[in-house]
Amino acid sequence: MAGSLIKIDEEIVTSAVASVDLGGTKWDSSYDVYMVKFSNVTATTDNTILYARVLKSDNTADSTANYDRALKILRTDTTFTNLGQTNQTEFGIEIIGTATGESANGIFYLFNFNNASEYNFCTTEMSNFDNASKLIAGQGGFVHTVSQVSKGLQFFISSSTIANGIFTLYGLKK
Amino acid sequence: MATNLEFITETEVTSAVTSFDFDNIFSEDYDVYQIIFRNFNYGNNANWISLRFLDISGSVISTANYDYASLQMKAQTTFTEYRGTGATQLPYGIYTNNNQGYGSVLTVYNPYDSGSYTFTAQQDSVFINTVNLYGHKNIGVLKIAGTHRGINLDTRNTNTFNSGNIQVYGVK
Repeated sequence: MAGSLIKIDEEIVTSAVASVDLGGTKWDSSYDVYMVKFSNVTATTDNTILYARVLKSDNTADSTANYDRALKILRTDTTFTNLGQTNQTEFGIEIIGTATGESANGIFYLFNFNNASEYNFCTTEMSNFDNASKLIAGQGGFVHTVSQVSKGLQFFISSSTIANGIFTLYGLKK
Repeated sequence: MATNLEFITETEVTSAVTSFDFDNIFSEDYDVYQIIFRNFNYGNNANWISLRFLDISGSVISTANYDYASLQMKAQTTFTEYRGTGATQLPYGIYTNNNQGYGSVLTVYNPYDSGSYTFTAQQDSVFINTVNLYGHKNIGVLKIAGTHRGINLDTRNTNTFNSGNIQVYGVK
């Protein structure tokens, strides 16, 4: 029986890189919905933020101020919080660190990335251990409010590099 | 074309037990797993159950190394938050009276990687006659960088699992 979750691209980071592009030149536009999986993502520098941006049709990251996000932040240290922001230049995933176990893990679903007349949407489910060794994760999603064709996601860390992690892009086949 | 969501194994609860292991479900072949829970029935109405991991020898890890955060979403009343650190298990939201419906997906990250902690994300939906619709969004971590080969479910009391099905998939 033919499968329904088809791997398109995978990037395995074992030494420091400035960013990870999932898709881009490897993007396969034959799917309506895509899944992105990342696990055990760590930073080179403590107290730095892991971000994502969409990759434009020219395979470069879109850094314009068009990212909105709405998340319920589940956390172990205090009351859960609602996080809503508009017109950001990137989607913030998590503050991560370098202590034992501190890492980011998650599954995103991407919608409308091949549709030039719709915004790019992304749902997020994560489970992270942040720079204070605290279990925390934003459940919700983001939208890139530009009607354009996009070709995947770029992951990067502010003022630092990604030290480790596995990033995989799948298409959901009909 | 081969799929990258690969069925690994399943187990069926067919007799009344208060606790059971689902062993040898994790391996070095996958870094992320999706586990489906369905058709659970209990000897009595259940409260939350305990989810623990099995170590490389198949022993249940019950040390105080679990952290969790859970949002309980109820259709007819205020949502409730639960959180904890240094717990001896992850609370798992299999609340149900019998025969009223339940479904859950548990994502497990890095269980077999001896160099990283094991993370979970879980969501479920359940209908209880007297309470209406319940749903949960849970996250958890086992703060032991070790190789974990399975899971253990426990009702935490004399209540029993009478039936239930668990299916394990690897995300390749």
